[in-house]
Amino acid sequence: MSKQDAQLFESIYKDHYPMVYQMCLGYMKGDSAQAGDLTQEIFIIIWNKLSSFEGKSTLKTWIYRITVNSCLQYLRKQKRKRSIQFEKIEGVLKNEPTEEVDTKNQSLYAAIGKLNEIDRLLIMMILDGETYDGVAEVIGISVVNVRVKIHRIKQRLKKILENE
Amino acid sequence: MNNDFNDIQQLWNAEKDSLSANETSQEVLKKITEKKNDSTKFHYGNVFVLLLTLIVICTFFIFIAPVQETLSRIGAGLMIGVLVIRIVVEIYSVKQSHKLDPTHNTVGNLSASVQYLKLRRRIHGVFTISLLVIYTIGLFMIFPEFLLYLSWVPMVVFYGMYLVSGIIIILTLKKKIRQELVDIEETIELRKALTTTE
Repeated sequence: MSKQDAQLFESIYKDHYPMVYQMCLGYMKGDSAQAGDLTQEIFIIIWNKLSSFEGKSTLKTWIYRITVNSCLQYLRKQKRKRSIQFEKIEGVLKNEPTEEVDTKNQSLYAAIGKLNEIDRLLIMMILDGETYDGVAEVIGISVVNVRVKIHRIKQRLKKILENE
Repeated sequence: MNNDFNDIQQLWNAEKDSLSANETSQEVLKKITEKKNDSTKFHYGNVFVLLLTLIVICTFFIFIAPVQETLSRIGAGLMIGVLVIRIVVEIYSVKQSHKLDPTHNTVGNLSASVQYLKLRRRIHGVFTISLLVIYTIGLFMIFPEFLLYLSWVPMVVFYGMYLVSGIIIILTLKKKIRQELVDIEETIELRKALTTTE
């Protein structure tokens, strides 16, 4: 580990930790313990892959890709390891809200948590200020497809909020 | 709708500002080093167990009980050969798992995951079960020569225990295959959900 690499990682960690952790928190429906584990896994990947970052996309897009891919893998990996309760994972996968929400804005994560896992990840990138082009680059689908999906997710989110 | 969304976005950004890391980057880097070692141990765990079995069997046939009959030698060869093939395949599988790149876009990553899961399923399925059958045939080919030096009772106990272990291994593999099938289906569903416009 060179001093330069450690410095670069430190700056990435400082700048992107809130973004990554918040996405994990939203994905895990506000479960801060699991979100913390997942965030740590993501930064491990960032560290391991840092030398392969060629700057073809922005650093933020690159980190989003790692975050989205890691989120989608995390629950399935946990299920295989059976290190956490099966019912809890099933709840997160089936969009049932978990009880362990301990952040300030519980309702925010509760509302996002009612969306399916793909929709959750897509809308969180938009909430974070990512452009449709950026989301398309992260996911690997067309901008038109992203636009259609986001429009539908916003409608779903509106319905969820109206029913609360 | 946009007003609602703008409200949520404001709430989201306000929440983000309040989030801060509990650990310093140095503490995270320390954990990364620890986890990297664990990950290597986890990935090569199967290879290590198989390699150890190979060493024990080779030591047994070379130094402890060198078999003399042609049938027994073919049997021992089959057993050793099966283990060597299984080790090579396991190393290949670990190498393939390292090709899954989380820095690729999600659809590409999910496609690569499906390919890898299908490979694991093939390895745990017909391939490993065939190898287990060949290994068992090899073991039973040595039985007549073993019987020249050992009485029936320890032989029956040994082969009986082997068969019970074999059944347990097959049942474990069946469970693993079922889980891998679920993983494949879920990953395909995720990819479908992303690529279609519903």
